Amino acid sequence: MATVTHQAQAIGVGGSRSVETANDHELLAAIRDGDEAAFQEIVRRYRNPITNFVYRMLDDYERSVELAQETFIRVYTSASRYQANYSFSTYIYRIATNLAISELRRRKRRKFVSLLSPFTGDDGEPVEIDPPDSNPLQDEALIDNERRRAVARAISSLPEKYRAAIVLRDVEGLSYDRIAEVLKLSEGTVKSRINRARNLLKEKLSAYV
Amino acid sequence: MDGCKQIKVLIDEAERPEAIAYAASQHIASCNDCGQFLDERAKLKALLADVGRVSAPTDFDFKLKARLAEVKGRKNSWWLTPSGYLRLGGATAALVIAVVAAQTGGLFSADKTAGPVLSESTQSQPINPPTMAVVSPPVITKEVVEPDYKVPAAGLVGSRNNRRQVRTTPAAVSGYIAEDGTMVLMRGPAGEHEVPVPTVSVGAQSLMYVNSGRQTARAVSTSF
Repeated sequence: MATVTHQAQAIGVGGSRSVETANDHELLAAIRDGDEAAFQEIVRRYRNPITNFVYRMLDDYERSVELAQETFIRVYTSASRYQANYSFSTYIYRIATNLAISELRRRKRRKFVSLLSPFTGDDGEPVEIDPPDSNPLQDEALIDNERRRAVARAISSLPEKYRAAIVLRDVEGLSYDRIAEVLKLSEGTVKSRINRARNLLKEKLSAYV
Repeated sequence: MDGCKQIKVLIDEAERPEAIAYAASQHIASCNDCGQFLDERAKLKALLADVGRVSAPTDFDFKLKARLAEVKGRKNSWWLTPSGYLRLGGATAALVIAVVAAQTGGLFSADKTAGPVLSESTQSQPINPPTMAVVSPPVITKEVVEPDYKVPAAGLVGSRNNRRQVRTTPAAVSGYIAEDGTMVLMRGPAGEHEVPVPTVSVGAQSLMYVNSGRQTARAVSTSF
């Protein structure tokens, strides 16, 4: 932490470096010292990736924006407890993942009976029946749009443990070891979950694959 | 088939199709099953990559600032929230309990007549001090006679035949209240001796005078 404090002094108000050139750890140290500009810079860097990630987890834009904001609030309020043991992006993705999974569980508790999910998979998770629409579409833009919607629905129908892993890997492009850090799992477990998620997606998106 | 399973794992874990090892790619070229698996995975990755990215709305920063200000306000006036009330109430209750417990234990008593040895025993054993430990070993003297502490032997416990005339010095029993009390014969390492104890009437009169901050008096009350 001493190193982080030293970094904060370097980019603080009147410091020798600007927030744009500072790295994430330096910005976090500055936030801890009450530097609002450093926090704005962190928000600028991560608002789109975090919003997109949460959106792919929830398939609900309004709620995704709220949870993305909640993620940044948590970063701000817990800046004093942040330890630079691993990259900041891992840290912020972990917060966002936890928030998204909590939201999914909250929704699952509220959903007592779902007509769309009368069946459960091998692992007891509800499986959403979402047969692909085989009707031909006239417009190419509409086709693209429909394909994207189908993919989004397929992702959002995955069990949450597979969903987080596949979104971090194939949508956000994180490496296996960083996904393991975000999800606090072993790399082997992450690979296994991603493989399982891809197999499920292949079944759901058989019309496109 | 075992080889195919390993190749499929390699395909699945590869960052890009061209990053698959040369030996694996040779196998894929000659194995229809693995080749099909590679195609499926490539198409699936392309589909997921093409799903599109959403951006944060333009008022994201503005709303975030508003929420952050709200959070800061809540943090500064946490005691106005329901949980703040609960915390304050809990702390007050704990303080009251501590004060009552300290008062009951005689911590605030202004009575300093008890000797220093008795005070120490009060601190180390505040709840249940043994009566025998307080009075034993008695200091046996034949010279000093204190009539106030000597009571006729009526109603004594123990063997009357073996009872010796034991008197205690005033210093040793200075903590006892002897008014309208009786005597109890107690057996200690130095023989039997008489200990005066006050009469305690439950319900008819207050016990507070017995318990007026003195260890020995409380010990008497618990022995009944």
